[in-house]
Amino acid sequence: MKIKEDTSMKFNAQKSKYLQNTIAYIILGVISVTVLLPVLYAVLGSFKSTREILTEGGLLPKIFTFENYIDAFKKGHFEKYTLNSIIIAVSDTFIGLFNITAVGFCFARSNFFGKKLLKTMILLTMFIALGPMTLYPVITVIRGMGLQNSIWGIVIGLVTGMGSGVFIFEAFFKSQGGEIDEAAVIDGCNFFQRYFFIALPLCKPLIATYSVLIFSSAWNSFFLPYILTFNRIQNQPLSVAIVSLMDMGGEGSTAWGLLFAGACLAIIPVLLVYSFTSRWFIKGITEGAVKF
Amino acid sequence: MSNSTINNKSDIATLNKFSNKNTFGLQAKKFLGDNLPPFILMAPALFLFLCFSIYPILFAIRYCLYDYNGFGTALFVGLQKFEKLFDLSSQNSFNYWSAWPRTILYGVTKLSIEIPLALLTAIIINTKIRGSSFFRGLFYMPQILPGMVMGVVFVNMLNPFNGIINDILMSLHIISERYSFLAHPGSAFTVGITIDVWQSFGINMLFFLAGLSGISRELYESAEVDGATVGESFLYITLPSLAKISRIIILLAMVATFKTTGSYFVLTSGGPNHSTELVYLYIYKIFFNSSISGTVDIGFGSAVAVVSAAILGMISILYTKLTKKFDED
Repeated sequence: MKIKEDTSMKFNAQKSKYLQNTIAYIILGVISVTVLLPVLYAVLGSFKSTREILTEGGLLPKIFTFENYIDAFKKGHFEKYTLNSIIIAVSDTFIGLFNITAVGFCFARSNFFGKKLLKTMILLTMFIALGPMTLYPVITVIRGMGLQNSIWGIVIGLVTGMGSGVFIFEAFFKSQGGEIDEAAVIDGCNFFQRYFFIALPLCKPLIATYSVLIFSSAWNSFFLPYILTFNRIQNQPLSVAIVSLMDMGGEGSTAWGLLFAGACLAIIPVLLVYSFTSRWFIKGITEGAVKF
Repeated sequence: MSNSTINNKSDIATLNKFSNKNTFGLQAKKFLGDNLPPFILMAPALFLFLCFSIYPILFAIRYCLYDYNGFGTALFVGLQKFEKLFDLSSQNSFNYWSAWPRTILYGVTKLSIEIPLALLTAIIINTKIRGSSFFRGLFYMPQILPGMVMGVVFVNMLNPFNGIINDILMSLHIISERYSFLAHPGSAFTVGITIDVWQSFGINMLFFLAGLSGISRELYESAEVDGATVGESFLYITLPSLAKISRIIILLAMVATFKTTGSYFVLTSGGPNHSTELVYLYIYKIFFNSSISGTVDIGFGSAVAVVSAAILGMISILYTKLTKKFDED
């Protein structure tokens, strides 16, 4: 009798576990489809002709064509926009990484004059809505530097030198400890050698996470390059080129095929970077969030 | 490098000239030795920080007191621009003040969809069911996609002629005929929120996952021994443990809300009839969309920016004060 009850309880528990899992998978499945739909729509849409996009419905292309991609490079100058995006994203990643690691390192391992003041200023600027408030003056600064017609104006304006990253690197460099510094000083390492040869190599995972973060935010940036390239189309990165392409054609006359091909050129590189790195990238973000 | 050491030595020499006490020279040497290397290392970052973070704030604070159109000379007008801003009879300032409740409604609605969704997915993924790391990666993915480009894709998906969203909603019998979502104020506003939730719930899910991983399993096990149901342990263990991280999530999301034009910049550019114009979009238009006023009124724009930053600062401080009790652990 007792055994029977036991097995039936076990059976019930198993059944409810099974039910729970099914519900969980249904929820996850619905969300997954919703998350994926726009991306699939853009990728599959890039293989449809403009006529098909405008007249037919559905997700899959009825007639598969590479015409849009050929047009994008032949007529649309998308190779230029892609190159611009690459220049901007890659240089911003290098400059941005150097900046946040350098400031984080100095916060953690030295006592310079005005450290507290600088920390407070960074925190304050993080919480003031800098974007809307300062977009115009940022552009005046770039003009003042004489970079308004150059792609380097976009690069320099987008560098995310300060922000939460500084404090996350500070926490990381602090956790490396002071003993390592003392040992290095005895061996005759100066401040810069300690930064380049000791501290940096020890935080490779965090650097990798931040390089993906900075790369994607520079690759996706919009407003600053949009304004700086109003009359210099040849400097446009992909995201700006695509939006202006949509603005140019009115309702109905937009070259949707070309636009979808361009959208894929903008989406797929970040998607590829992300899919190869997402495992430890996400780990880095979560750990950063806990530290912060 | 070599240059700086020379400077370093000559500085010390000059310092020594002025004081005969050797200790002072030593102190100065130590001071420089402590400060020069960090400042050299941080020089590029500090330069950019001053140029692109500090100077722009000072610029806005200065020019809100001037009449300036970007080219001619700036004319000091005192508080005139603020008077203009608080004069509700003018269309321009009316649009500004009606952008605030709209932005708050946008933020509150977005958060009240996003937070439960993020929490739900985080809890499911935290049970480590098969494929959980795949779903975690997938749900965060929209965050790294270019938002404006996806906005363009959404415009096509939402079109009333053959848009796929109309098709899906019709086949699910949610709507009975094709609908132009972006042409009507209410639906355009809702669609924008939905797209922004699509893009950003993943990051909040990651934050919740970080919070959940901090709760020890033993707590749940002992609650189960004491006869607590799943609902009870959620209510009395999970939620209170997440209070601290939720407070940060909400603060970050709030600040982010005022830094965004939402997806509306591409979807509707604030229309129809300003019904999707968030504060950032309004400020953007003052500075960069001369169709609003003909010429750029930098003084007025700066006044708007300063007032907006002040309001946001007050909201943030108020929020931090009000929710302080959640932080006591």
